Amino acid sequence: MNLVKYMSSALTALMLWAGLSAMASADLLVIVNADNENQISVKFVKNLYQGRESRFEDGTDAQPIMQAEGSPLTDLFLDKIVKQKPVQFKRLWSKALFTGEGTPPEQLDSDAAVIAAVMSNPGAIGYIDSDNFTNDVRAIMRIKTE
Amino acid sequence: MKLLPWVLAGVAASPMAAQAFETRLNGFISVGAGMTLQEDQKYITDPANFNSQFVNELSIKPDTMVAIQSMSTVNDRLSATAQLTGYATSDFGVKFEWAYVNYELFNDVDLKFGRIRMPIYNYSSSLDLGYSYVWIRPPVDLYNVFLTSLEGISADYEFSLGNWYGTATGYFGETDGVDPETSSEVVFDSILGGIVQLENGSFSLRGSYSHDDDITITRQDSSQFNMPIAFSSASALYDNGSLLLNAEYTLTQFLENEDGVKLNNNEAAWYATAGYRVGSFTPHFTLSSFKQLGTSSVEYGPVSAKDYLQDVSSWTAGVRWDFDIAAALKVEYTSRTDNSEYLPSAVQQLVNPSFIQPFTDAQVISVAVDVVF
Repeated sequence: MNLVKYMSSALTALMLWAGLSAMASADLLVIVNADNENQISVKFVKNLYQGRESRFEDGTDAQPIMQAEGSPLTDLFLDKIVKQKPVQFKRLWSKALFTGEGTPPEQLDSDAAVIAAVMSNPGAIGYIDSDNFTNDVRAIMRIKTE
Repeated sequence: MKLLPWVLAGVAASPMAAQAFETRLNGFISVGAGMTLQEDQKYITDPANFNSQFVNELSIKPDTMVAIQSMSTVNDRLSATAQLTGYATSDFGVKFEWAYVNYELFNDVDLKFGRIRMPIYNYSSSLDLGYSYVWIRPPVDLYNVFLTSLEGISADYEFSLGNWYGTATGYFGETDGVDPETSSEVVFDSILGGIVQLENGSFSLRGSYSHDDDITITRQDSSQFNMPIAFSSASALYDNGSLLLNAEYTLTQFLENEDGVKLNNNEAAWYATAGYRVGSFTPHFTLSSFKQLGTSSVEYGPVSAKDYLQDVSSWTAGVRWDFDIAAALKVEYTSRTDNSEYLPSAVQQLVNPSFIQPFTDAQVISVAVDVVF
């Protein structure tokens, strides 16, 4: 009896773990304002988040938005799009901030906050978990989580 | 515990909401400790303040400092920034290293007016920002200029050339201070300089040239000297996230003055650094050198200044540990060898009684924690 009980709780735990990792494997979406019709390349997004670009093709001021430092979503975005380690990225912007070269991207704490900011600002660009995507914004890139 | 940040956020948000502009407060802090390994060895860590030196007794002061920066956006184009710094060796007496307004003239052109860092070398603008580099402090053999900021104007122009992103900077200003080595008052009336920075992926290059055609030096005995001076620097950095390579060469020229005299020997310095990031650890190794070149035309009776040249070389081995995204712990060992020839002390007394402390050999061990906030 005890063994069966043990086995079933182990099974439950395993299923729970599998479920969680399925949830965690939702994709990352890079989103812009629904009215933003610019051609946007990965290279542009990378340069924008590194502070080398500041405007979309049509001249609109681009406003990059980050999510929480150290979150899996942010780390994935930095790895796949910005091509930098989190510490490298932090170092780049710390140096820029304290030597008058520029201000780091604004940081918001949730997908909902990023979507709201991107909806209300024609130049905003951010990244969210695809589970929370709504049609109020335009998705321009999808990054698969492993 | 959770409540406190929210209370603070509330307190901070209400006055800001009443203002037309946005203010952000940031800062950084470095706490260091270190000592030289043998009696009578001294190792200066801050060229602007000779009290910042490690001796053969553990001290926490020389590498310890804090900076608070306030930056306010006045409108789309205009912002105001002030950076207050305090150094433990000066009892945290507050100095402003930066205090300027930034005006975006065009999309690609920014103007700064006010107090800015004197950007003569690669790390001059970020000298105290320990978090941003691998060492505890940039190599002191090269970063040995006691004037660090100036009042003036600078213009930055951003451009791209294919895959290269660049910034061209021109600056102009004035500054003065007391040379801690000689206690002479030094005035730069009009220093003019240009910088070009280029980056392509993991690779970046920087070159700069700064010139003042008439600096004034007033010694303690009130005697006055004038001369033109020039600072040149060329540096390269490769950092792909794992491998780090960094080198810089600088030349300080004390040029011929109106009387046809070259008052000082020119100075050449360089360093080369290699590091490799393994997880959150970056072990690194640096060679550095400082040499006076025999260019002075000053004769002190039977001896010439160009025959007694300072020549110092060092190596540094250390590890940076990024134990948090915003904080690093560093441990370093530096060994300096002094191959200088010094003027006979009797002659030196004649030249200037308070003149020149020999570098001497030194072995230094130091640790530091750097945090940005």
